[in-house]
Amino acid sequence: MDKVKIEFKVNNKEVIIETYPWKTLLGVLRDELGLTGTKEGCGKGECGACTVILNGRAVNSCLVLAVNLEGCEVLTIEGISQKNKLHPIQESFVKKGAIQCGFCTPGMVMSAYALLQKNKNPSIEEIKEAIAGNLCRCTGYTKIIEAIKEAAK
Amino acid sequence: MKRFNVIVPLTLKELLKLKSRYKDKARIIAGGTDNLVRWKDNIGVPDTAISIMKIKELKAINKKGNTISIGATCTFTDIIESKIVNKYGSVLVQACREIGAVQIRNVGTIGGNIANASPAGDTIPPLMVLNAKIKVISLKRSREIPITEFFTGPGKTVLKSDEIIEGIYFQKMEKDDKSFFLKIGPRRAQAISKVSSCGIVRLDRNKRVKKVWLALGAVAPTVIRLNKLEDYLQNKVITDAILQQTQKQASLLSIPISDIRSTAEYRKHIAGVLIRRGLEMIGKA
Repeated sequence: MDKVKIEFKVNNKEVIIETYPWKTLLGVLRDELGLTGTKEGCGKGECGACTVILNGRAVNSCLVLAVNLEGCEVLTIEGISQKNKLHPIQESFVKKGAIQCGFCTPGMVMSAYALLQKNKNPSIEEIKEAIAGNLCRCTGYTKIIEAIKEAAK
Repeated sequence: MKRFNVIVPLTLKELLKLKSRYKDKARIIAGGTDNLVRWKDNIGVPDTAISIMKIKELKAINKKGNTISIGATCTFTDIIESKIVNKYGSVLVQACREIGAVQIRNVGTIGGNIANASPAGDTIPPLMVLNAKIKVISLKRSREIPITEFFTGPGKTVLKSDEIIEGIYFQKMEKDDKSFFLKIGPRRAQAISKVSSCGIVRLDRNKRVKKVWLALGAVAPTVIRLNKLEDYLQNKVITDAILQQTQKQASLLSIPISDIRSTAEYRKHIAGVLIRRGLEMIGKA
């Protein structure tokens, strides 16, 4: 089957890739662009480990077909830190100890990022709602919620 | 996952031409939150998929007179954030909020939820109580189908092989209409409904039921409207005794099955409970 050429933006950089039509955004990020910060957990939109921001909204990159990316803007965990300085949400996760094995962390941070983009001062309930699609099997969520609350300050 | 080709039409015209050429040989994919999950398990993978997310004509939400229209590829988030739907079809917003989690709501579409034809599809009960019509089109014709006549069984609809869902149309709710959407799942987020329930109640000045529309999901091969129960409630004041009868009736009208998500017994019981709870919340005297 023929590859398809797709032009889109990742972390504010124009990229042009050629990939197969059945590939997902997650596959393109990890396999073609080497952006392995975005993780594959379940691969079926249940766990949120692959969360990235697509045109301003949090999505499961495992369920987005790459062919739909033409002209889109994608932001991944690699794109939120600046000049080797962690993003305040990341700082807050470190400070609050909101990380154990770390596998869910990139997705968690991106969901938090999407939330704080449109709600500067979210309530605990709103934070819970924003990360309801992100599973963590280590922490029990309390420190993650505290970290997001702290980052909003 | 088995390999497949994807065609990405940019206009409605292009899509209709493709559909008329490929018919059932190509599968339409919108948000992909149902299709891709199945395809990754190698279930129903088509040779060719037609992705419709780039078609602008299918994305609009409008109000014309008393009619609200929602394009097929509007996402659940588009609906939740729409001023028009919040004002005139709030029962649909209530249901969309209960779907999946943020990441799913941001890509899953109302047209996809309908085409998927699951008895547990969460936008279907609200569309049933809104008496919505599904507009389907092909190169040759266009027709509007009442949603109560759209589904023929789990995963089955009256859509013909050259037709696509263009959008959903319904009459606006009245200002004082009260509505509920209640679902039961294993957890609050990311849950496919074991049972869902939905209703709109319009009371008169004396708190009598002037109009009521009720629907249940996941308790029959398709989502069902509870016409008999609606007739029973007509002109009644909703008291404890009436609620008790309502619960019993709703349970009797449910003909669920046992599957991986729940048992028939539980579903039958909880269907009655949810309808009662909903009416208690919004209509009790």
